[in-house]
Amino acid sequence: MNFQNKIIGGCYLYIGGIVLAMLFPLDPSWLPWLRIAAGLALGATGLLLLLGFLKGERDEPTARRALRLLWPALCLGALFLGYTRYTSANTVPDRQIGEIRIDGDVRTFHQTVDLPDTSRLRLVKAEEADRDIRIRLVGELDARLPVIGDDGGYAMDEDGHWLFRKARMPIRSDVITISSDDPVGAEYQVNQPFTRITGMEWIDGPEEGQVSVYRISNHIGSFVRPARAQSAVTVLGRITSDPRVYDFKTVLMITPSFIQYPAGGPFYRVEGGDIQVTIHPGMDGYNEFARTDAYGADLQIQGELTVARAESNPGGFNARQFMQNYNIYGLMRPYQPRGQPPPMRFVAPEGRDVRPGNPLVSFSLNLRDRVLLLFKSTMPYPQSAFLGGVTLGLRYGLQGAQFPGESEAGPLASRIGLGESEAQIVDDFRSSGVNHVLAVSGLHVTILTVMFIAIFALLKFPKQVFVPFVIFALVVFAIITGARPSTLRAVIMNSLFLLTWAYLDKGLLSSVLIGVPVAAFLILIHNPLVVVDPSFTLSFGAILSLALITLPAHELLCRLRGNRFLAVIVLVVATTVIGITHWTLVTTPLFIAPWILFGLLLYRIAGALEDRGTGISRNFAFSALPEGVSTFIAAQIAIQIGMMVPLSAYYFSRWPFAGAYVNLVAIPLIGVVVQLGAIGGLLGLIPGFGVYLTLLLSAANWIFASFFLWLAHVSTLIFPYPFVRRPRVIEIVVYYFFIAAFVWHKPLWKWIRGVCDRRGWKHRYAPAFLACGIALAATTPLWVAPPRDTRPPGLHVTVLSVQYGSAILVESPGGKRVLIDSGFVEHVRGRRNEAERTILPFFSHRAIRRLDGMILTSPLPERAAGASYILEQMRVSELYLPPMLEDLSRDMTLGEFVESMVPLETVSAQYPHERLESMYHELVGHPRWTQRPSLAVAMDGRGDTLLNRWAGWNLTTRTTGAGHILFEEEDDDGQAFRIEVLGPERHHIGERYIENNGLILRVVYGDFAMLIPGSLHYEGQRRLAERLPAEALASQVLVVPHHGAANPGFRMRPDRASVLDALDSYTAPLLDRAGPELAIFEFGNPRPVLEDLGRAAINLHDTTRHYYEKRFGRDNVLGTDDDLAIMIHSDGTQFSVETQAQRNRARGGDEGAVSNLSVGL
Amino acid sequence: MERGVKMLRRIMAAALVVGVLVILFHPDFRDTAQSIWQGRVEQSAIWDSNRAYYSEVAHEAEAPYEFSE
Repeated sequence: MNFQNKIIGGCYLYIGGIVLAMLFPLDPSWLPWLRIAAGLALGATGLLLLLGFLKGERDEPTARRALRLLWPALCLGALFLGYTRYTSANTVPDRQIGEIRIDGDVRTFHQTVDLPDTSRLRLVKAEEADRDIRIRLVGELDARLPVIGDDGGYAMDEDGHWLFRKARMPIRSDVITISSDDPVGAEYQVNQPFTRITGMEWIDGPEEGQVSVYRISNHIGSFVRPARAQSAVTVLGRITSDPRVYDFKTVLMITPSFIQYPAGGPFYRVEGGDIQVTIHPGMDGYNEFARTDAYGADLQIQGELTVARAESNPGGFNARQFMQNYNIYGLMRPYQPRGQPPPMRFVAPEGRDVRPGNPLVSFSLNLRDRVLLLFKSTMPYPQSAFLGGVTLGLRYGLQGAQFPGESEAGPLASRIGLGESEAQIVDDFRSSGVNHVLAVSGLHVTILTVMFIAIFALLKFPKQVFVPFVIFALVVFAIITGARPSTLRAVIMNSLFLLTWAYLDKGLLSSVLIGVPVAAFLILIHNPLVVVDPSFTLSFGAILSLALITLPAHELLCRLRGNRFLAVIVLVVATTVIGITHWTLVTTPLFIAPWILFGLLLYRIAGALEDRGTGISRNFAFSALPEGVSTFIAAQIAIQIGMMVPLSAYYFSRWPFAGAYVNLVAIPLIGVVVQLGAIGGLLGLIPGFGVYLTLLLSAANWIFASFFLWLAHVSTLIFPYPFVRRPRVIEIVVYYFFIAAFVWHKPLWKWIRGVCDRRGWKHRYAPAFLACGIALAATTPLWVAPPRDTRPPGLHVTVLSVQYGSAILVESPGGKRVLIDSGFVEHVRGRRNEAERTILPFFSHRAIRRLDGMILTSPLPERAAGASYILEQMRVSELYLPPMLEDLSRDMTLGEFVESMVPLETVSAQYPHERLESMYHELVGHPRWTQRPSLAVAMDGRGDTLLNRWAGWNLTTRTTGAGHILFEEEDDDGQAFRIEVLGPERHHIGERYIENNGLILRVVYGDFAMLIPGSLHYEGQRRLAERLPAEALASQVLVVPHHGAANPGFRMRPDRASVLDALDSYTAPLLDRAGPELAIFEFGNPRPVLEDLGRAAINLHDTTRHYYEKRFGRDNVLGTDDDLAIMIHSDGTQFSVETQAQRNRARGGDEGAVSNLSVGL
Repeated sequence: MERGVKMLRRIMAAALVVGVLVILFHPDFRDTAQSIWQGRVEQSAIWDSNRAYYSEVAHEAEAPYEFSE
């Protein structure tokens, strides 16, 4: 009986069960049945296993029968277990506790389950009723009254339990009306909490009906509220992980025990879910929380409990899901009003100090702090932060750190002619493909494992003795570095390897084969939601790539020798050089096809020459490299094709081109850095002379760390970091099918030949034809799967949610794609780049790699700053600019730029110098940060050259103005699509020159029109209404001008009356003329754009929005702040609107939902 | 295993040589070595460059780092 195979199979089937639960989810009410099924199947597996053992020796037929049945039982058990575990972790179902039945005069409340604790209830209409049902629930509430300690805070007993007094009181719910108009399944929240239900008061209702009563789980996720419906809560809980300390904030993870909800309401015992609490240095007592010692402490917090946002845009990052995968369901940002006590305080058990955390964790974290202290004492910043990141997992310490290339001779990159980059080290790491060294993973754990083994071997300890110590050290390392899935995977696998190596004398491959599935099983049994987490997937992708692909890749490469090897080297180098100098060319089919043909031809010629005895020696071969080097290169190729290419594109929509080359140096280098760091840190703990040894090793390590940072920085300046099309899951599945075929090509080929022999297919090429047929069949899912874009034909407009800024994608019925404005880019503080963070990932998600046009309505940064980043990454055929940018060129000085754009000094004086300068930096270029993209430079590189035309990279730039028609087309039904330019007319001088001279657009399709006035200010709005007739302005949808935050004067705090007056005087005429049915506000946090005026912009927006809501009705006013991305579709006669918030709600992510929470995927 | 031991030996030997050279020729490291010897690590150039990095991890004698936003 091969147990190893069964263990491996069982683990993989458990993962299969999780995948099935993701693909085909069942209602949570099936959970009890799923548990029974899993229990029965696993029980049967255990019994069969036992029978096999017991009968094994004396009753062979019985044992064989038992073992034959073992596989099916194990398969079912593992599948059911995976399915059940994922379903139970993925939802927090409400529990039905009873029913209200109405049968003539008999109306009863039949309770099937007692309430376990103080609970909230909801009713669900279970049957149709011909009249409204009106009832009250009656019962008791055991209200928890917290005991107040001597210091005024809540008190705990000496064992660390929160102290309450209980007050029992009768309670009666409000009248609950179950409307006869509501459908079956409608839900009704009961406003009062209950600890016991004693009955029901019948008020009024039909002769027949049924209502189910549910208890809402006291999971923390059921207490959160979206940002605009906040109510302060009090949480009593404990800090359950190491505080994450940044230089401007600290993030604490709290496991709550009780929550008072709402303020002044009852205390509920929390049944699950953690809270992430973010505090800032301004809070009293901040330093007490911003330290490792805070781990384990009990505390009380008051504040608003909110929830992370799901995707703001299609295909965007789902922060809520990401956090929920780590059991974080609530967010708090406690705020201390001036003169008030702090909203957080520690609470100690009676007569004791504040509780410490788990002893092993506390020991590990203390050890980490001592080593960090040594690093800080012996290694300069930022190399110390790099060392802390790769050795201790403190990657947050690198936030804000820049490459230390400054010197009197100027920055290093500048000195070698690469310009100056303001990128931070973390940006360098990301774009050079070495970011993985900061995410402590298998690489680090393996380096440390090898290091510890070497140290013990050096000291002549037998492996049976030292292996437990090494495993203990790895566990401590995992705790120190935050126990992420990637670290846990590596520690489990390395521990299994050490155990099998030391005590069973097994090799590495055997331990990898069993270690991978067992590690995955152990991580996923604890938290099945991380199955789609990048940390988990990338880690397992890397190890499986190394274990499975390295060997066949090495064998393939070892066949290369002589001329053929040289030809391959030439091709790789040439492709790399072309990729660096003209990335877009190597992604053009018109280049790829002839290049592949050229490559094949070169390879054949090289081979032919070699066969004739011409060329270089056959000793010039890949196999002639030292084995360690050749295997390492093969391993890097394995990681690229097995993990980086497919998964980086899937998770991050980008592929770090540099990674394939930089890692050849970076990985051995990081081995040295981590080992020297770890040994130096441990030696430093020796009292007395230890710190000198650390200094000695740190001094050497400083060289290696500096070289690592330099390598990442310079490669970022050389290599592109392109956005790529995000593959669909089905495409990844097909891709991995071909990878698997490559890995197992030998047995596969043998099988194919066998099939040909058995069928009598004697033709020489029969196996090749069969192989091609199989390959073709494997791609079938790509053709039969529904296409990525299944939207109905017609006009599609997507107003992206880009905070205070604008980006609108117009997709014409004929397939033209035009981007109007490009979002804001922030280079300091939050470093929020909407082009890279939102717009380009959205294009990757939609597989859009080319735009027919981009229109910038204004030079204002919130509209145009992202343009250069988009032009760096996307093929754009035409660029339209407002007239004021007609003279834009990269050689302009700031003065020339301002003069060309805002011709009169008196007018330019209306704009703060910083704002004009900011526009200059984005549009012309930054005098210092020459690596920062700018519109003028991007336009300059897109000229009509041969290479640009070959790559489809050439760009036509035009200025446009009133009366122009862009992208006109007609569909089969004769309905016309066009983008009309309504303004500006000729340059007109006046107040708010830049705002009022931007482009005003009207997107028209058939009878549908959408007015996009850009940043048009009050004066411009009235002029537009006066200038054009109603039919020229008539639009069903209006994008509210100037984000709905136009300031009627130049005051920092405009009063509400003057805003309303301006709206009545200037905006109302435009609204009357255009007559829109729907208004869209493009709004979000204005502070990064407007800085000090941000607060005023929020007030202006609130007033303006209220004005629009009053005029159009609340349902006809949408905003990209609350409704997120807004998708409009028109068939030319009617239009429909869908928002990203609606999509999120439809997937169970309703921010206001309090029950049947759907979490994870 | 033997290869690992050999590699570790080489790395350590090289590190010791390079470390000595860096301490001899780099003023910040030289200053730090002197500061450690004199028992005032928190006054060294290296510690100074690290003052804002994980400021809560500090030598006991040192005054707390003040944040400014």
